[in-house]
Amino acid sequence: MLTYVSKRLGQSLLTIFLTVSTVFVLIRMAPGDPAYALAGPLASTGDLEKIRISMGLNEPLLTQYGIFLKDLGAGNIGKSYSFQAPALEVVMSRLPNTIFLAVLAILLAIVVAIPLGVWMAKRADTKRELGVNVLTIAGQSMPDFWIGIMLLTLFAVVFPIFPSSGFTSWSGVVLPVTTVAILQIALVSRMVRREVGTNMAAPYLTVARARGTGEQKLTWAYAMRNSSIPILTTLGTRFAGMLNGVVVVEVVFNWPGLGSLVVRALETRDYPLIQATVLVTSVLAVGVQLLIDLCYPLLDPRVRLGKVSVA
Amino acid sequence: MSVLEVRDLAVELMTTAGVIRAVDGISFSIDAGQTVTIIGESGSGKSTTAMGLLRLLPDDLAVISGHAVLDGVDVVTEPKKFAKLRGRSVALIPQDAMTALSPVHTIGRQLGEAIPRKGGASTADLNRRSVELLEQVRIPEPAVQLKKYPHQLSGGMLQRVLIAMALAVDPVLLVADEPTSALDVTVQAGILDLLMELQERTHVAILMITHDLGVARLVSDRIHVMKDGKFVESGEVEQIVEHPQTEYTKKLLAAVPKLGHWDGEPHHDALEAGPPSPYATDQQATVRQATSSQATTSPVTLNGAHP
Amino acid sequence: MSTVNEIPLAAESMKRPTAVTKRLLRRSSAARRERSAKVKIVLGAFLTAVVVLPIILAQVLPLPDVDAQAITSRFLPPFSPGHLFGTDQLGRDILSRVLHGGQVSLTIGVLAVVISGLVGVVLGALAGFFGGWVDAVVSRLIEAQLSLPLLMMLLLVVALFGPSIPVITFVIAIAQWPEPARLTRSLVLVEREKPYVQAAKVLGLPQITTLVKHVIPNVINQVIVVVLLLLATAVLMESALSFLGAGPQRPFATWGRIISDGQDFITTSWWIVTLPGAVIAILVVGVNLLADGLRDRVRRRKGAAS
Repeated sequence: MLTYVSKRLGQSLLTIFLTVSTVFVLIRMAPGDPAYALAGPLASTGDLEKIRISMGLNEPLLTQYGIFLKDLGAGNIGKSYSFQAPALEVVMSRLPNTIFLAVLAILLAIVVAIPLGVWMAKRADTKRELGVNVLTIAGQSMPDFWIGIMLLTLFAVVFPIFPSSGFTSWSGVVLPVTTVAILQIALVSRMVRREVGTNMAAPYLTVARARGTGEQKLTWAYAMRNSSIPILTTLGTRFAGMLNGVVVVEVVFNWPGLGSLVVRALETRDYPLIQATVLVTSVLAVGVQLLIDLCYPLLDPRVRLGKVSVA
Repeated sequence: MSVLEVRDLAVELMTTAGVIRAVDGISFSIDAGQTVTIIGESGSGKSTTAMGLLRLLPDDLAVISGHAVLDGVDVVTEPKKFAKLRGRSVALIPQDAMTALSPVHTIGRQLGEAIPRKGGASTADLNRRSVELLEQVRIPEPAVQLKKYPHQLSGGMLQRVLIAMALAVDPVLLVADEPTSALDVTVQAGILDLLMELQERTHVAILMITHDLGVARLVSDRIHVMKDGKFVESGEVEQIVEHPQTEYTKKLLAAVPKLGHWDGEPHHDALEAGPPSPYATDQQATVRQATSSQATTSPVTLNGAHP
Repeated sequence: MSTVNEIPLAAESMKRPTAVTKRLLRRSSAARRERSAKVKIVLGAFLTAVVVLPIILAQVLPLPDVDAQAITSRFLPPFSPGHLFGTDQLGRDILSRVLHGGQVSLTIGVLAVVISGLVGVVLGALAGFFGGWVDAVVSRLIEAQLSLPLLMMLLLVVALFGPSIPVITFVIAIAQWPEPARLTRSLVLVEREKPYVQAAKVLGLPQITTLVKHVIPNVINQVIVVVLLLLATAVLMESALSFLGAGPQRPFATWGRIISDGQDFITTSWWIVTLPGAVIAILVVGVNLLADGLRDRVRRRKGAAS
């Protein structure tokens, strides 16, 4: 149990370290003067010189890396010149909106996908299931921004039921959440189908059936309960991918989260802002995955009681 | 009256490779307190017979035909009614104890589920009954074991737990599908002893499925030798072991590991001493086959393949 | 076990007819699985072809010029004469733009997949074959990359290095290498234990020769199915990058670019966004259906063989 936790923690720290180092290398590798890139087009010569000194650009690369890490540790990722504020603060002020959207979408996805996946597993390859199966494949392969635009066109323009953008009222939440959830429902339900299908054919289930356990109990208390372990792990690893989708969908709906921020940063070449977004979303994704992995022993007694190590 | 009466049973499996008749018209019956063994190699259809009789093969895989009546219910034509018998008058002891229990539920939880709940039974009653059952299968410290998860117990202990589960319902028939083949030989003996002892006490009928003639020799009243979905030979234990009629049975007998000369002791000494164990019976079987093949020149005819 | 058609000709078994009716057979899980796979493969192949063939033939088909603008025929709805998909805000033919844009998008996708496939197979094979610290490094890298929301990092790269086609291709390739790497690694791990690898070792063949000449050829077929699936993902990723403003710059009308350009006109001219998006969706859904069906079939063949 203790080795499990420390292993997970180590992996998370390593991932963050790799991210940070990649960002450092990228900025140093980019064509042109990093100081110029980070200061923005409106900076004066004095500003540039100040940045050069603070980044240690005249020092050897290793010293620069040290300075870079120290700045990061202090939460100093530079100043966003399009917002005229510390980049980290700008990103943190938008982060709750993104998390809000992601959490609602994942909740909706779980509520829909688990019963759907169980149904698919039990009716595997019947005509109806085949139809639903094809739909889930479609759901996981359509571009998410396109789904968003379609929903928007249909329910905000053609049938104006929901507002087309923003975060002004609860009805404004419906379309963005649905858009993000569609992909997740497709992914999770297919995962549930596969796992529950495997568990329904497992020896322990046949044995439980032989001792007269009812079909509902077999499905939920046994097959689904055993499936929940791999499903939760996969959800953890998928969270990063989901964050990508959320960002794109935010742009469609003008959601005041990280997505619109990142688009604006791209337009204005606001590197400190993009850098801050990269770091914050990475820490978030890694943190969520760590959290889920630490919940894992609660679900699996084999890990909790330290018999099996989880790869 | 027979507990289980099987006549001309067939199980056909619909696979990608075509329809396979895994069980092809077998007939047998088991009386209360009797043990009938189906023995054969893997792929002979013996386990399919067991699973088919319990209706544990999915309907979209297996088609069952013929007649099989268990405790008054027609297994073939009344699947819904039969499903209610599972965990009441018929119980299964599965092949591999290590995979036969849900890894994320405690022993107590899974055992408790097998115990029929009469009106007003409290958790304490359930617990007491669980402990009682584990004591019956001679598991040490039953109250402690109930709180454990399957991965914390050994294969032999798990098989005992599974036997306790099967006993929880007071069945009239136990289907034991290779109950010892995943276990160490030393553990095997204990499990088989336990089964025999329980049968003596409860008078339960046992359908034993095995590929191990040593096991069959030890526990059976009757043996049916199965090959390619059919019984090639049926009879009392001694008949089968001492006077095998078919090449197939002889081969099965020959496949039993020969022990005895490894320690330099005359092997019949080992036979006479000690409790019955698969090893001993293997020896016995081998020895008897050896002696009978020397002594017997004229083959003994069996009275028909089907009882 | 004997199949029905080869039941021995003993008198007893001749008497017994099969209890398996056509209806039962049709409803058997084996037949249903076969049907599912078939439907997915046929449907997937059809959808893929519907998109890919016209794109390949874009130069040959009688289409209006991609960049021909016509002020008089702006915002024409679909099925207008001469403009099957209608026209955009500059009067350009959308079908022509979608097909030519598709050539760019697919080229980026193919290149990216070739690169990521190569990198993935090489690193995965090295990790699986040699184990030890090579495996540790590659595995940690895969894990790390998979747990990151990579899109932001890709945006940073595009912002720093400019949205040129090589940069975007490279960025997509980098995003995708872990999948083939992970798969190759697990396949090679199995392959490594096979007797012929041991035999090669005994014969004194250099390990790297064994890996390149014998192990990789044995696993490559299984990897290629997954690599094909990556092509669909690459197309999706290109469109998402373009949509966020990090796609190849004009005049390259990639799919994502067309959609993001048309977004301002959603309320008045829905087709400018809807139709290009539908083309992407049809292609990606088609490829995914095809891959899913093929995977089911391969899995079943293997199950039947064992």
